[in-house]
Amino acid sequence: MPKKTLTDLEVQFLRAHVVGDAEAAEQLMSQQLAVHGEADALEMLTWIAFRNAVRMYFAEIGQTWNRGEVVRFVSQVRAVFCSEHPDLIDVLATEEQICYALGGPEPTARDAIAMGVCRMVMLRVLVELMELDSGQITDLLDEARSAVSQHLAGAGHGQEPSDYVAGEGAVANYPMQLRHTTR
Amino acid sequence: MSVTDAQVAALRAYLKGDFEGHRRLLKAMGSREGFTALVPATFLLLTDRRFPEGTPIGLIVEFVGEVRARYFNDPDGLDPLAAERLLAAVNGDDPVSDIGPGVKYHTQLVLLYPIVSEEKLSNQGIENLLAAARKVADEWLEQP
Repeated sequence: MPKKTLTDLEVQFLRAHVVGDAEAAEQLMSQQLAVHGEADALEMLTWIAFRNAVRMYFAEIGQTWNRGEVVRFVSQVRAVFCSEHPDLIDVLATEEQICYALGGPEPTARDAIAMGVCRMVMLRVLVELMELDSGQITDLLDEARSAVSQHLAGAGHGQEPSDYVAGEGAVANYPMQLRHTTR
Repeated sequence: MSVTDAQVAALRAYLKGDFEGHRRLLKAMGSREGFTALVPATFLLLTDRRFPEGTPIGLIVEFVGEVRARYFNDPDGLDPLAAERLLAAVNGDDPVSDIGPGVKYHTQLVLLYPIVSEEKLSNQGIENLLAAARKVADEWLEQP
Protein backbone atom coordinates (compact mmCIF):
# COMPACT_ATOMS: atom_id res chain seq x y z
CA MET A 1 0.00 0.00 0.00
CA PRO A 2 1.50 3.39 -0.95
CA LYS A 3 2.50 5.58 1.94
CA LYS A 4 0.09 8.41 2.78
CA THR A 5 1.46 11.90 2.28
CA LEU A 6 0.04 15.23 3.30
CA THR A 7 0.23 17.82 0.54
CA ASP A 8 0.23 21.61 0.53
CA LEU A 9 -2.93 21.45 -1.56
CA GLU A 10 -4.76 19.50 1.12
CA VAL A 11 -3.80 22.07 3.76
CA GLN A 12 -4.76 24.93 1.44
CA PHE A 13 -8.06 23.21 0.69
CA LEU A 14 -8.88 22.93 4.38
CA ARG A 15 -7.97 26.57 4.93
CA ALA A 16 -10.21 27.68 2.05
CA HIS A 17 -13.03 25.58 3.49
CA VAL A 18 -12.54 26.98 6.99
CA VAL A 19 -12.69 30.58 5.79
CA GLY A 20 -15.74 29.83 3.67
CA ASP A 21 -14.14 30.23 0.24
CA ALA A 22 -16.02 27.42 -1.45
CA GLU A 23 -14.79 28.30 -4.94
CA ALA A 24 -11.14 28.19 -3.95
CA ALA A 25 -11.74 24.98 -1.99
CA GLU A 26 -13.26 23.34 -5.03
CA GLN A 27 -10.36 24.41 -7.26
CA LEU A 28 -7.77 23.23 -4.75
CA MET A 29 -9.45 19.84 -4.41
CA SER A 30 -9.58 19.48 -8.19
CA GLN A 31 -5.86 20.25 -8.34
CA GLN A 32 -5.12 17.83 -5.56
CA LEU A 33 -6.98 15.05 -7.33
CA ALA A 34 -5.43 15.90 -10.69
CA VAL A 35 -1.90 15.85 -9.29
CA HIS A 36 -2.09 13.16 -6.62
CA GLY A 37 -5.16 11.18 -7.59
CA GLU A 38 -6.50 11.21 -4.04
CA ALA A 39 -6.55 13.22 -0.81
CA ASP A 40 -5.91 10.48 1.67
CA ALA A 41 -4.34 12.55 4.45
CA LEU A 42 -7.12 15.13 4.47
CA GLU A 43 -9.38 13.13 6.77
CA MET A 44 -6.66 12.89 9.42
CA LEU A 45 -5.72 16.55 8.99
CA THR A 46 -9.35 17.54 9.43
CA TRP A 47 -9.76 15.35 12.51
CA ILE A 48 -6.75 16.90 14.26
CA ALA A 49 -7.71 20.46 13.36
CA PHE A 50 -11.30 19.73 14.49
CA ARG A 51 -10.11 18.11 17.74
CA ASN A 52 -7.84 21.04 18.55
CA ALA A 53 -10.54 23.57 17.69
CA VAL A 54 -13.05 21.78 19.93
CA ARG A 55 -10.58 21.87 22.83
CA MET A 56 -9.82 25.54 22.20
CA TYR A 57 -13.49 26.44 22.11
CA PHE A 58 -14.44 24.66 25.30
CA ALA A 59 -11.36 26.07 27.06
CA GLU A 60 -12.22 29.54 25.79
CA ILE A 61 -15.74 29.51 27.15
CA GLY A 62 -14.41 28.03 30.38
CA GLN A 63 -16.97 25.29 30.29
CA THR A 64 -16.45 21.93 31.90
CA TRP A 65 -17.92 19.57 29.43
CA ASN A 66 -20.37 16.75 29.83
CA ARG A 67 -22.58 15.03 27.30
CA GLY A 68 -25.50 17.32 28.13
CA GLU A 69 -23.47 20.44 27.41
CA VAL A 70 -22.29 18.95 24.14
CA VAL A 71 -25.88 18.06 23.20
CA ARG A 72 -26.92 21.67 23.92
CA PHE A 73 -23.98 23.05 21.98
CA VAL A 74 -24.65 20.93 18.88
CA SER A 75 -28.36 21.81 18.92
CA GLN A 76 -27.54 25.53 19.19
CA VAL A 77 -25.07 25.24 16.31
CA ARG A 78 -27.60 23.39 14.19
CA ALA A 79 -30.28 25.94 15.05
CA VAL A 80 -28.11 28.86 13.98
CA PHE A 81 -25.84 27.50 11.26
CA CYS A 82 -27.84 24.65 9.78
CA SER A 83 -31.42 25.86 10.21
CA GLU A 84 -32.13 25.46 6.50
CA HIS A 85 -30.83 21.90 6.58
CA PRO A 86 -30.95 20.57 10.14
CA ASP A 87 -29.96 17.14 8.88
CA LEU A 88 -26.75 18.48 7.27
CA ILE A 89 -24.74 17.00 10.08
CA ASP A 90 -25.42 13.70 11.81
CA VAL A 91 -26.40 14.86 15.30
CA LEU A 92 -25.27 11.83 17.28
CA ALA A 93 -22.04 11.44 15.30
CA THR A 94 -21.22 15.11 15.89
CA GLU A 95 -21.95 14.89 19.61
CA GLU A 96 -19.87 11.74 19.95
CA GLN A 97 -16.93 13.21 18.09
CA ILE A 98 -16.95 16.39 20.15
CA CYS A 99 -17.06 14.33 23.35
CA TYR A 100 -14.21 12.21 22.03
CA ALA A 101 -12.16 15.28 21.15
CA LEU A 102 -12.65 16.41 24.74
CA GLY A 103 -11.44 13.10 26.13
CA GLY A 104 -14.70 11.17 26.17
CA PRO A 105 -15.37 7.63 25.01
CA GLU A 106 -14.45 6.43 21.56
CA PRO A 107 -17.28 7.15 19.12
CA THR A 108 -19.51 4.44 17.76
CA ALA A 109 -18.46 3.31 14.30
CA ARG A 110 -20.38 5.42 11.84
CA ASP A 111 -20.54 6.19 8.18
CA ALA A 112 -17.24 7.74 7.04
CA ILE A 113 -18.94 10.39 4.93
CA ALA A 114 -21.22 11.49 7.79
CA MET A 115 -18.23 11.72 10.12
CA GLY A 116 -16.21 13.67 7.56
CA VAL A 117 -19.05 16.10 6.92
CA CYS A 118 -19.61 16.79 10.60
CA ARG A 119 -15.90 17.40 11.22
CA MET A 120 -15.67 19.76 8.26
CA VAL A 121 -18.84 21.64 9.15
CA MET A 122 -18.02 21.88 12.84
CA LEU A 123 -14.45 22.98 12.18
CA ARG A 124 -15.71 25.89 10.15
CA VAL A 125 -18.38 26.73 12.73
CA LEU A 126 -15.87 26.63 15.59
CA VAL A 127 -13.47 28.93 13.75
CA GLU A 128 -16.35 31.34 13.20
CA LEU A 129 -17.59 31.11 16.79
CA MET A 130 -14.09 31.77 18.15
CA GLU A 131 -13.60 34.56 15.59
CA LEU A 132 -10.14 33.26 14.75
CA ASP A 133 -8.15 35.68 12.63
CA SER A 134 -5.96 34.68 9.72
CA GLY A 135 -2.90 34.15 11.90
CA GLN A 136 -4.79 32.00 14.37
CA ILE A 137 -6.21 29.89 11.55
CA THR A 138 -2.67 29.45 10.24
CA ASP A 139 -1.54 28.34 13.71
CA LEU A 140 -4.43 25.88 14.00
CA LEU A 141 -3.70 24.34 10.61
CA ASP A 142 0.08 24.37 11.10
CA GLU A 143 -0.30 22.49 14.35
CA ALA A 144 -2.59 19.93 12.71
CA ARG A 145 -0.26 19.62 9.74
CA SER A 146 2.72 19.07 11.98
CA ALA A 147 0.89 16.35 13.94
CA VAL A 148 -0.21 14.58 10.76
CA SER A 149 3.26 14.82 9.21
CA GLN A 150 4.85 13.37 12.35
CA HIS A 151 2.48 10.44 12.32
CA LEU A 152 2.88 9.81 8.63
CA ALA A 153 6.66 9.94 8.96
CA GLY A 154 6.61 7.75 12.06
CA ALA A 155 7.88 4.22 12.39
CA GLY A 156 4.46 2.83 11.63
CA HIS A 157 4.44 4.34 8.11
CA GLY A 158 0.90 5.50 8.02
CA GLN A 159 0.19 4.71 11.64
CA GLU A 160 -2.56 7.04 12.74
CA PRO A 161 -2.79 9.32 15.77
CA SER A 162 -3.96 7.35 18.78
CA ASP A 163 -7.29 9.17 18.93
CA TYR A 164 -7.98 9.14 15.23
CA VAL A 165 -11.09 7.21 14.28
CA ALA A 166 -11.87 6.61 10.65
CA GLY A 167 -15.44 6.01 9.61
CA GLU A 168 -16.97 2.65 8.59
CA GLY A 169 -18.05 2.28 5.75
CA ALA A 170 -47.61 -2.19 17.00
CA VAL A 171 -48.76 1.19 17.32
CA ALA A 172 -51.53 2.59 15.14
CA ASN A 173 -50.52 5.21 12.61
CA TYR A 174 -52.41 8.31 13.75
CA PRO A 175 -52.33 11.62 11.86
CA MET A 176 -49.12 13.56 12.25
CA GLN A 177 -50.45 16.88 11.00
CA LEU A 178 -52.84 18.94 13.02
CA ARG A 179 -54.82 19.96 9.97
CA HIS A 180 -55.67 16.32 9.32
CA THR A 181 -57.66 16.07 12.48
CA THR A 182 -60.58 17.85 14.09
CA ARG A 183 -59.76 20.72 16.41
CA MET B 1 -63.86 1.76 21.35
CA SER B 2 -63.12 5.00 23.12
CA VAL B 3 -60.57 6.41 25.54
CA THR B 4 -61.26 5.25 29.10
CA ASP B 5 -61.05 7.23 32.33
CA ALA B 6 -58.20 4.97 33.42
CA GLN B 7 -56.25 5.85 30.28
CA VAL B 8 -56.79 9.54 30.87
CA ALA B 9 -55.69 9.06 34.49
CA ALA B 10 -52.49 7.33 33.32
CA LEU B 11 -51.63 10.21 31.01
CA ARG B 12 -52.59 12.77 33.65
CA ALA B 13 -50.13 11.17 36.07
CA TYR B 14 -47.41 11.30 33.41
CA LEU B 15 -48.05 14.94 32.52
CA LYS B 16 -47.88 15.86 36.20
CA GLY B 17 -44.55 14.10 36.57
CA ASP B 18 -45.92 11.23 38.66
CA PHE B 19 -44.03 8.62 36.67
CA GLU B 20 -44.46 5.88 39.27
CA GLY B 21 -48.22 6.41 39.28
CA HIS B 22 -48.18 6.52 35.49
CA ARG B 23 -46.36 3.19 35.30
CA ARG B 24 -48.73 1.62 37.82
CA LEU B 25 -51.82 2.82 35.96
CA LEU B 26 -50.35 1.76 32.64
CA LYS B 27 -49.67 -1.74 33.98
CA ALA B 28 -53.24 -2.09 35.26
CA MET B 29 -54.71 -0.71 32.06
CA GLY B 30 -55.21 -3.83 29.95
CA SER B 31 -55.84 -2.81 26.34
CA ARG B 32 -53.88 0.30 25.44
CA GLU B 33 -55.60 1.09 22.20
CA GLY B 34 -57.29 4.19 23.57
CA PHE B 35 -54.09 5.30 25.26
CA THR B 36 -52.07 5.02 22.07
CA ALA B 37 -54.56 7.37 20.44
CA LEU B 38 -54.66 9.74 23.40
CA VAL B 39 -50.88 10.26 23.33
CA PRO B 40 -50.62 11.54 19.73
CA ALA B 41 -53.82 13.56 20.13
CA THR B 42 -52.34 15.31 23.18
CA PHE B 43 -49.06 15.74 21.34
CA LEU B 44 -50.76 17.45 18.38
CA LEU B 45 -52.70 19.88 20.56
CA LEU B 46 -49.80 20.70 22.81
CA THR B 47 -47.28 21.08 20.01
CA ASP B 48 -49.61 23.35 18.09
CA ARG B 49 -49.64 25.67 21.09
CA ARG B 50 -45.92 25.48 21.80
CA PHE B 51 -44.75 25.67 18.18
CA PRO B 52 -47.48 27.36 16.14
CA GLU B 53 -47.40 27.55 12.37
CA GLY B 54 -44.41 29.57 11.14
CA THR B 55 -42.15 28.65 14.05
CA PRO B 56 -38.55 28.65 12.77
CA ILE B 57 -37.08 25.15 12.72
CA GLY B 58 -34.12 26.46 14.73
CA LEU B 59 -36.37 26.91 17.79
CA ILE B 60 -37.50 23.31 17.51
CA VAL B 61 -33.91 22.09 17.11
CA GLU B 62 -32.84 24.00 20.23
CA PHE B 63 -35.84 22.78 22.19
CA VAL B 64 -35.09 19.14 21.41
CA GLY B 65 -31.42 19.66 22.33
CA GLU B 66 -32.47 21.18 25.64
CA VAL B 67 -34.86 18.31 26.34
CA ARG B 68 -32.17 15.73 25.61
CA ALA B 69 -29.61 17.57 27.72
CA ARG B 70 -31.92 18.22 30.66
CA TYR B 71 -34.15 15.18 30.92
CA PHE B 72 -31.99 12.30 29.77
CA ASN B 73 -29.07 10.64 31.50
CA ASP B 74 -28.55 9.00 28.14
CA PRO B 75 -29.26 11.62 25.47
CA ASP B 76 -29.57 8.80 22.94
CA GLY B 77 -32.87 7.93 24.63
CA LEU B 78 -34.57 10.36 22.28
CA ASP B 79 -33.87 10.35 18.55
CA PRO B 80 -33.22 14.06 17.89
CA LEU B 81 -34.14 14.07 14.22
CA ALA B 82 -37.33 12.10 14.78
CA ALA B 83 -38.28 14.47 17.62
CA GLU B 84 -37.57 17.57 15.54
CA ARG B 85 -39.46 16.21 12.55
CA LEU B 86 -42.48 15.15 14.58
CA LEU B 87 -42.70 18.55 16.27
CA ALA B 88 -42.29 20.39 12.96
CA ALA B 89 -44.77 18.08 11.22
CA VAL B 90 -47.68 19.20 13.39
CA ASN B 91 -47.95 22.42 11.42
CA GLY B 92 -45.81 21.44 8.45
CA ASP B 93 -45.83 19.34 5.33
CA ASP B 94 -43.48 16.52 6.31
CA PRO B 95 -45.62 13.36 6.28
CA VAL B 96 -43.04 11.64 8.55
CA SER B 97 -44.22 8.41 6.98
CA ASP B 98 -40.71 6.96 7.12
CA ILE B 99 -40.61 7.11 10.91
CA GLY B 100 -41.81 3.83 12.39
CA PRO B 101 -45.03 3.92 14.44
CA GLY B 102 -43.20 2.71 17.55
CA VAL B 103 -40.63 5.50 17.29
CA LYS B 104 -43.40 8.05 16.68
CA TYR B 105 -45.35 6.94 19.73
CA HIS B 106 -42.31 6.76 22.01
CA THR B 107 -41.00 10.13 20.84
CA GLN B 108 -44.35 11.86 21.23
CA LEU B 109 -44.88 10.43 24.70
CA VAL B 110 -41.39 11.40 25.80
CA LEU B 111 -41.82 14.98 24.54
CA LEU B 112 -45.16 15.55 26.26
CA TYR B 113 -43.76 15.96 29.75
CA PRO B 114 -41.06 18.54 28.87
CA ILE B 115 -43.55 20.59 26.88
CA VAL B 116 -46.12 20.56 29.68
CA SER B 117 -43.39 21.31 32.22
CA GLU B 118 -42.13 24.25 30.23
CA GLU B 119 -45.65 25.59 29.73
CA LYS B 120 -46.20 25.37 33.50
CA LEU B 121 -49.76 24.21 32.93
CA SER B 122 -52.03 24.42 35.96
CA ASN B 123 -54.11 21.41 37.03
CA GLN B 124 -57.05 22.96 35.22
CA GLY B 125 -54.87 23.52 32.16
CA ILE B 126 -53.93 19.85 32.15
CA GLU B 127 -57.59 18.84 32.56
CA ASN B 128 -58.60 21.06 29.65
CA LEU B 129 -55.82 19.65 27.50
CA LEU B 130 -56.75 16.07 28.34
CA ALA B 131 -60.44 16.71 27.64
CA ALA B 132 -59.66 18.19 24.23
CA ALA B 133 -57.22 15.41 23.39
CA ARG B 134 -59.68 12.74 24.49
CA LYS B 135 -62.26 14.20 22.13
CA VAL B 136 -59.80 14.04 19.22
CA ALA B 137 -58.67 10.52 20.12
CA ASP B 138 -62.27 9.31 20.43
CA GLU B 139 -63.01 10.62 16.96
CA TRP B 140 -60.00 8.74 15.57
CA LEU B 141 -61.07 5.58 17.33
CA GLU B 142 -64.60 5.84 15.95
CA GLN B 143 -63.30 5.91 12.39
CA PRO B 144 -63.58 2.55 10.65
